[in-house]
Amino acid sequence: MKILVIEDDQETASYVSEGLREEGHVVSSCANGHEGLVAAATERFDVIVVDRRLPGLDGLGVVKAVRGAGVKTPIIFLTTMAGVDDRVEGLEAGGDDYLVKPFAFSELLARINALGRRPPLVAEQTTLSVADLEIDLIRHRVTRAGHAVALQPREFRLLEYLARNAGRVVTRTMLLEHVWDFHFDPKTNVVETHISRLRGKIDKPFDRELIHTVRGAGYSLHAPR
Amino acid sequence: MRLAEYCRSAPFRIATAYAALFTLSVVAVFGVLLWSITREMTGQIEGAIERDMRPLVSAYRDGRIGRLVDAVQERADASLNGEAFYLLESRSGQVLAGNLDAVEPFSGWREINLENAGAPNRDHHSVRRVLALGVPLNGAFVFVGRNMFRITEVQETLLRSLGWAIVTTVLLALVGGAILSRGALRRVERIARATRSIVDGDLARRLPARARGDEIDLLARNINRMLDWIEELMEGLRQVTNDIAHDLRTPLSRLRQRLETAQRRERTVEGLGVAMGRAIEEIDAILGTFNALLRIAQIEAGARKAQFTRVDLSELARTIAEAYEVVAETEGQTLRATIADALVLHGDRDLLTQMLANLVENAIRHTPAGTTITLVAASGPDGTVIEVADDGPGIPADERDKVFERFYRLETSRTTPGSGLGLALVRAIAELHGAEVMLADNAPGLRVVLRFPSRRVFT
Repeated sequence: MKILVIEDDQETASYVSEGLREEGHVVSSCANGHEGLVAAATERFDVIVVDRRLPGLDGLGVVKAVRGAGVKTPIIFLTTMAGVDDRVEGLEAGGDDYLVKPFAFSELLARINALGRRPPLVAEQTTLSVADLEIDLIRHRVTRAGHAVALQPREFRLLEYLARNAGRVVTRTMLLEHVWDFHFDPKTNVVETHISRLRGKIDKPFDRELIHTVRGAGYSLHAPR
Repeated sequence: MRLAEYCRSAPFRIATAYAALFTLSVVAVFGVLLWSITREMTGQIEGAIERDMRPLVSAYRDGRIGRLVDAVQERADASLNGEAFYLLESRSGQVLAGNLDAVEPFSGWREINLENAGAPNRDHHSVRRVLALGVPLNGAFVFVGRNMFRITEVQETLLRSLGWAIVTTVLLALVGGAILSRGALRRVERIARATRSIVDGDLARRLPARARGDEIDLLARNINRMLDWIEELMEGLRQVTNDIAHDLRTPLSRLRQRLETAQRRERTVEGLGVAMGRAIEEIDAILGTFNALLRIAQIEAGARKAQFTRVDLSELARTIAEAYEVVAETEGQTLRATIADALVLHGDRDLLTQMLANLVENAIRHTPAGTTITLVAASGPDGTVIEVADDGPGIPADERDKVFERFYRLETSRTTPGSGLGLALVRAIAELHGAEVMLADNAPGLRVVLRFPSRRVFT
């Protein structure tokens, strides 16, 4: 993917850029808001990573201007502030995701992948399928290899989120945010327990696992390789 | 008290203003008195002159100037004490009779100054003010005047009294003001001394204030209350700074030891990798503590109220219950939720979620397997009530208040991981929402009760 990183802190900028390059992405870097805005408006990127605090034009201003120019590229905010207000502000300005520094690189990577490779939304899409797993989004029904699997509403949402990001790594934080709308770090294994429940229903009765644990990163739903 | 200091003081300025006001009113009273007395006396003199003039005029009407000359001269001769003046002049200005030198003829009333007029025995003025009535007769001019020295005397006496009255008033006001201000100034000085020593660092010092005093005492009491509040804040700040220093130093030094040990002992890349992984985990925990502290500070500053919206508390509580039922179950505990419908709050959804999650997680983490945890959200008579209770070991009564402090951890929970900030955050969030949070004995176990006042609830 082609990624634009707008970040004034040299250390963070190279940490992000080099990490992304190692993952095979093409990265452009800008050290201030104005440069970043010009780059975002003139070149096509798959994802833009922008720091909230920038010299000159700040992150919020950049994103508002980029959105104002009609650029629909997914944008991730980076911030040193832990306030939830900042998250809401960032999303209202037109950002798609929000990450608080310091963050694990795997977290940023997972979020970039989730945003950048988002398949074009097909309005009529009513089912999701991964290998022999079928999810009926209208009736909230799940079958695996033709067998109906009974899920609680929250389990369904969890599976749906994993399926929408099938083949990609989904982190614990992403699940907390999207499935439970939790924007804090729980002290108990909420995600792990629910994933384990879901596995008991989706994977256990069958011989092939679809929900995979990615060490140090999160989970991924995909057909066994 | 130095004079310059007294002159700058508020009582002096008030005394001066009063003195000026009194002086003004004394002047006004004396002015009215002077005017009316002068008028009354002038009226009397005018009456006397008219009475004197009438026979003279009628004497002339009788036709003979000789009778008039005799009448005038007779009266002039009788006036020995310089009180009355008479003059009869011919058309050419020649004095025919009287006790005065010639004057320019005039008609009607006139006040004139006569030099060297009148008898020397009453001569206490070289210039005499004389009120005179002039009547031009056919071919002659007759003049009757009266000395106005009585009026002048009364006026002078009044003016002298006025002078004394003013001097007395001003002196009384200034001296009285000085005496009054000495007391007030001394109190102000005591307050100033006290505040100076507080500024110099003696935070425990308070201003002198009488229990049932005046405005100065009221002011002093308010300042004292403000000082109590400031001292409390300072103490809190000092406490927090100490706590942060201590509670972050511990994990940081542990981290340092681990890294050093790894550097010394680990000889393989894998071993070092594992050690680094652990170090990153510890750093994340430290950063988590930092974030929690910042969040508490941010919430306590009340900056987040702008984010308040209508929050469906029933739905929120159900999400929490559902999320943690499974967690409790895997810990061998039971989480039971009783949540009323249509509970609505005005608040910050994310913070309320975190608050409830914190309470439920506390119950899960600090109680053994077999514990039953209950989450109740209901609408009470005074508003919405949320309760998180367990039948675990509970918290001793004397420690229930302390657990809300930052970094406070019970002896029994020192071994479980955690920052000791969970309940501090809960309290901060509750206070932001105007809610009351308290810990009670669930006999056995702990019951946390959150009361949201009903004025914050709208349906």
